[in-house]
Amino acid sequence: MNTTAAVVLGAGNGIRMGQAINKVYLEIEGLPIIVRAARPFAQHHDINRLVIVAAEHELDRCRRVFRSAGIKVSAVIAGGETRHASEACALEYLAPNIECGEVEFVLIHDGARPFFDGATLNELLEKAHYSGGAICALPLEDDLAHLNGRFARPMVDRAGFWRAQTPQVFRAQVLLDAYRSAAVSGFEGTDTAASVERVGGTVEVVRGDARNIKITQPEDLVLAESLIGATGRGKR
Amino acid sequence: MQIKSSLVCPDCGQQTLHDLHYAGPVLHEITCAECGKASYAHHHPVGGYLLEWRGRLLSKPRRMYREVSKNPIILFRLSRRVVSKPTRVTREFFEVLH
Repeated sequence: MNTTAAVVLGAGNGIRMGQAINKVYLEIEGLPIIVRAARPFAQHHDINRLVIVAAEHELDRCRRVFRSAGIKVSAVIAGGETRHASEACALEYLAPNIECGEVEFVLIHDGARPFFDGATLNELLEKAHYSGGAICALPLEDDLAHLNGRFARPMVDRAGFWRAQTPQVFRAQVLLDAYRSAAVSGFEGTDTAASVERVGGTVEVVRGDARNIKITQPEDLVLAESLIGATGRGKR
Repeated sequence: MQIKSSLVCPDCGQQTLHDLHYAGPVLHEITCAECGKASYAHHHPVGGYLLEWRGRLLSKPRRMYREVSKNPIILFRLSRRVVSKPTRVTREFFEVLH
């Protein structure tokens, strides 16, 4: 049986702003964003472990929000300064289980993406099983401009360009090796797939969902409020 | 209620502190603390609140059932919650109005 560990990243940028609340703990209709993000994995029968990565000073808060939402997590661990560092922390935490073959796949998801509904999860796991890695992504619909000073030159053909989302699933040993190799050479990938591709790993794409937004700007929060309204107000 | 969180302001082009204004439990306005740009989740917080309240009312039986099946001891504290509910709802509604 394949065992999969899901890692939800919640130690993001917001934490360095002193008095501010990390955006992943903001509530949308009474439920924190990170709880909404992790929920599909807690409910999926093929996910055996759920690891939440939180900022060191927010570990208690993180445990509290999951406890009060009634979601069982395997562990809440401290992350690093960057996304890459947080992923590395999670992988080192899982390393003994990966090395003994207990965890075969690792899924990484942004804690600031509260609208992944789990619909593509089976497809992701299946593709990762055959190719070693699979990510959710959407084809680009806007044109791309390469900025040269203040001039957009040349325009880039958008064909073949996709926007990467999470979740991203990888064969656990490949992912662990990729991050250990990155640590040795000082490489910092912007997302998980970048580190895997760097060591020659293959990554397949599963068409994502436009509603799987990442809360980054104020407008994302506004959109999140209306998405919740559209998908069932009061659903907690 | 007002809380602070860091978000990327499209006008400042970087991560800045934002003030999130809530009318009761409803997110009403988000303002960048650097440039003052405001985004509105609900232009009319009372309408948003009533809609949210309706959702809460409809989901109450399901939530109560879930809560009690997880922890039946809650039943003993129920009478206090029922008695204090009108006060809590009234207080919340006046918070939204102001």
